[in-house]
Amino acid sequence: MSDVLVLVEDSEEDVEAVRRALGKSHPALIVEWLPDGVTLLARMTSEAAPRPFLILLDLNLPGFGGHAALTELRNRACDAAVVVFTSSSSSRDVDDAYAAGADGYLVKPVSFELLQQALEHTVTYWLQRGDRRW
Amino acid sequence: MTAGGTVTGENVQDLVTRLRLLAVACTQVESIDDLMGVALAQSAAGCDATGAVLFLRRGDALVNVGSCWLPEATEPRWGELRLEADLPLCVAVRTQRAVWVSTAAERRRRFPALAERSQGFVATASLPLRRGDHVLGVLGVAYRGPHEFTSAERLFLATLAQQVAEALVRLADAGQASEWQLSLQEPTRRAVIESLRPTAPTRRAHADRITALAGRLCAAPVAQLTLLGAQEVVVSTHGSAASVPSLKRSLTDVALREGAPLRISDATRDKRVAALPAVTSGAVHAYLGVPVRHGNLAIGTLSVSDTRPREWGDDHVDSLTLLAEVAVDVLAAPAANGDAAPNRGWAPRLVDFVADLAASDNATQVLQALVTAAVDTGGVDSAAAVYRSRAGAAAPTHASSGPHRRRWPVDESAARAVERRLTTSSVTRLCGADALLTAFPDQLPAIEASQVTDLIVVSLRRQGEQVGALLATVSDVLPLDGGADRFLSRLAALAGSALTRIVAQREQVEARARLAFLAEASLVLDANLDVDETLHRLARMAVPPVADACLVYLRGNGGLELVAVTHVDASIEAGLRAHAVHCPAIAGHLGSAFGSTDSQLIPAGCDCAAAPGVWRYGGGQVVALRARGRVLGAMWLASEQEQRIDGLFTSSLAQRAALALDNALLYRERRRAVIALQSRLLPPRLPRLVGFDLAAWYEVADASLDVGGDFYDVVPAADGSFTLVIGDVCGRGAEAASITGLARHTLRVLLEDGWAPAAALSRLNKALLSEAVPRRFCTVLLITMLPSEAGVEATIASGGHPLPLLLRRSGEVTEVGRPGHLLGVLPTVRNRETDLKLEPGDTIVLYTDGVSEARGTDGMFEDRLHAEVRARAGLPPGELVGGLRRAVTRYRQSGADDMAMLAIRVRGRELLHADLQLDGDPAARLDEALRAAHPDPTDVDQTPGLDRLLRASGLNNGFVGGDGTAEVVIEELPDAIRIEVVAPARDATPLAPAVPHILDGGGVHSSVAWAEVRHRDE
Repeated sequence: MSDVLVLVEDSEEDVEAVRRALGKSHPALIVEWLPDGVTLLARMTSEAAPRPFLILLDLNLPGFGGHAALTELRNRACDAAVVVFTSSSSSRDVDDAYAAGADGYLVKPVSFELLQQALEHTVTYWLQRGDRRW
Repeated sequence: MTAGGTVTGENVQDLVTRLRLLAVACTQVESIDDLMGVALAQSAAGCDATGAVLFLRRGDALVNVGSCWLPEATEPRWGELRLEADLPLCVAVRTQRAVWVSTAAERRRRFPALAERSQGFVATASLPLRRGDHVLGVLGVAYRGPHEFTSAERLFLATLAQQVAEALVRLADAGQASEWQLSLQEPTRRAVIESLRPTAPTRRAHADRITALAGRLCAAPVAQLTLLGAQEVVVSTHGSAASVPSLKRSLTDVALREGAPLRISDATRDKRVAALPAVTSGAVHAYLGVPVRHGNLAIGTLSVSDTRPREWGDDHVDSLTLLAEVAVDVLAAPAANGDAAPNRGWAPRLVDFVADLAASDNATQVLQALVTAAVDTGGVDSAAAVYRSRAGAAAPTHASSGPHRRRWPVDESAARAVERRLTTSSVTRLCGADALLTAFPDQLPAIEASQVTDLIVVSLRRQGEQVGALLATVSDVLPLDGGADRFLSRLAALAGSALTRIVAQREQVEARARLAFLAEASLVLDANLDVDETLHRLARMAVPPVADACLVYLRGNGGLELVAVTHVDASIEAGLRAHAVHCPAIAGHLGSAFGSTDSQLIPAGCDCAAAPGVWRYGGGQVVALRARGRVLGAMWLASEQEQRIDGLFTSSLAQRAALALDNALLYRERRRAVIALQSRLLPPRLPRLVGFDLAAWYEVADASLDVGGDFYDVVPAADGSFTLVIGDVCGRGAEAASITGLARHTLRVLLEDGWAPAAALSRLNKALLSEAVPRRFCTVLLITMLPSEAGVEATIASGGHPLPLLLRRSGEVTEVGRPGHLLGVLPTVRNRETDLKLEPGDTIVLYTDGVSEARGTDGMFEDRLHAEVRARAGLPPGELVGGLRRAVTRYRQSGADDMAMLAIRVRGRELLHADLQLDGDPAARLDEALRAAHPDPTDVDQTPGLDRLLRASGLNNGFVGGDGTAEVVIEELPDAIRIEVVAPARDATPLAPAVPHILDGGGVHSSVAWAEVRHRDE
């Protein structure tokens, strides 16, 4: 299982918060930051780049948005785990994300402690996902 | 005990029994008071004494702390004795020997001062309470008459004194000492500190490492290790010594009195220390000190300080606490020369270990540091740690000191076997393969393969609870002197402290996260009155921060409905949703939750065999959602980890959710009622009027729970005319609804009877006044239309209502009609009528002030109303009204009012109105349809422009439904032919852009396309 997590996020504050939170719970994790959907597609089609165990994808990205990027990823038969990481908790956005091929949906909390908990459980789950035997 | 002078076989046996009981009694006492009770009762009863007294030493005095006298005796009021006094008790303390006085003569001879203090006693025994070379106090036993102390009595009392002294020290160390007992600690503390003075260079070097590490970990310029005995001893200072000349006893004193870490971010503002010289001199502005303990005896502090104010974090406190814990170990370490092999150099390794622990953020890192330090112990081949966290057992952590060393690969099974063995002993040493195989019979292959023979197993405790073990395989050459055992025990104890810190930190983070969740969830709950959406959002937010899965049920008339399911994994979420509706295990838990009398939590682990891969949760909480005495639903927070879901939190969340849910349900019910009532105040549907297109729109103000005051109607009369009605009653709610009903139904009766608009308004005015409803008035606009061969005659009368807009085919927009008095205020009203002739293609727009007075950032919507209407010239009324509605909604900023709009368009002569298949050759189909509708061919052939329309082949890619059909209307206007194509909305496809180019005008809007072709010969 790879220890690379790709974070697609345009807000520098959010990137810093995610790095800080994961630094506490999963210090060995490599967090690779991409600012938009275009660079995500380029990165995921590059054979040289290691396959991430998880992509955390913001929906509100400049230009080529998160939703379009997710749809395009799936069109290109990319089956990497993608968890949408957004501030919206609306059921319509959740349905849209799942319809586009998201593997999970994580609402960005305001509180750092809550973010820490949310990320810790999400990352732990997807790290173990491959080895899971129910 | 007898009063006899010799020890016989019989009383020896008795003595042994009493001494054994005494020892047991003294070791079992749990408080100073209990101990005094035992001491005094034993001394009085065991020697037939009249009474006994206990004094403790405080400096140069002896303080009476308790006494026990027979009932008839008078209790002496002894308070404090000076140590230099010539009294048996004081002599016993000074000489550290028991003083026996048997007769009155002896008493007078040896202690003349006693005469002054005579309490009627003759014989006394004064027994010093010794602890090593120090005397803690004295136990006195007294008799009313002479008493010769036998050997057995002397032995018994001496043993009693010894037991009492030891128990006192034990209790003091365990924190039982109160204010007066500080005197007890004093000599012990002094003795300990004296023994810890770092005279040897190696000890001083270790101490310096500790302070250097403290300074680094806390990012502080100054760190000090200070012991506080008879005088303060600064063992080590890291940082600029010149900057801390006055970091003296006072601060250490305060820290010790606190008995806990003393954290001061700005000393000048802290009353406890602001006046101390170290602070007033400016040497210390921020201070963090933690007690250094020897056992439970506080003997000094490890502190860091700064000359500037600053905050100290929890991690600083934790690091310093760990270092303080190891400080005494390091200072008490034997000098390097002559150390036994296992202990050589362990002091610096302990400091390194603490540094590793301080840098650890989680249990895995702590365990790794532990096993790494363990294999660094001389003679240890390999080490492993097994640990059971709050979440359950973790995989064992291993380390070995080299590839050639023997290592027993501890697996899960072995780990459990280890746990079972550690129930009684903190350290177990298993020597020889037989002992190992006896202890771990199911590990035979692994043990044989590893060739391990000796194993040390050390209990790993967190907050006193056994949570795992450190296992070390040892080589044959390791001496069995217990040195390694002690060192490994120390490592395990420090690791336990670190684990305690990590668990506490984690619990703090979790607690803060739960509070934050409640705050954020409350915002979501309060922000939305849509029941389903609110519950969806709540369930989504809960996963994964507080649970692995969340199910929310709503209780309705049809039973329990699963409204929200969330899981961290979308694929499992889908499976869970499908499974949960018929899972018997879930149904059982829900039944239990509903069956409880209040919002009880039902602990609900679930492992449903019917859904492998979907539903396996070790823990969780089911709670009924109850508010205002109603059970509204249930919420299930589930987790794979048994202890992850906190009951208090679930309960609190459920209460908030239930209340919000109840509000949302009440709102929904009320809203439904309002909408139902409102619908009864409006026509159920608009009538179909030959030669006219009609459309209306009505919107109640957002989130309003009152019936609105706007209304509209279309009333046909017997003479073929009809009247458009639009009105606005002042206010909202039940009274407004009653006026609306009165107005609408009064007008309907009058207009059906053929009343002219102005007369009808006047009659309505009287009806309103006769209702005598104060402050209730309304505005009404009436337009009666009479279609005829010559066109449409319209008569307009306004009762204080905004005047309607006339939209000509040319796009010209004008306000038509005259202003009139509003109704329900004046006894007589003047509402003059305006007559108007309408052409085919003309449209009239009626509206209420909610449209015209909608407020935007730059004024009111009426400023742009004409332009917005003009921009929709040619549109069918439905599209026009819909477009205006969207424009108003976009424009207005706040304060939504009710809005009503009614639009009517005069049609030209209808040539065709049919559903047609428009694929293939649409012109041919239209021609065919027209000729079918008009048996007389002149109707079609002589219609100007129709030939051009029929040639408009652009429709073949046009605006049709999915099956190629569309509703087509062709009408003859005064100067043009108009075609409208209405597609079924769901399957609508855009009209081919060629159509407007071919024809003379038209457009496409939503599901309607239209085009006009002008008569070329005109």
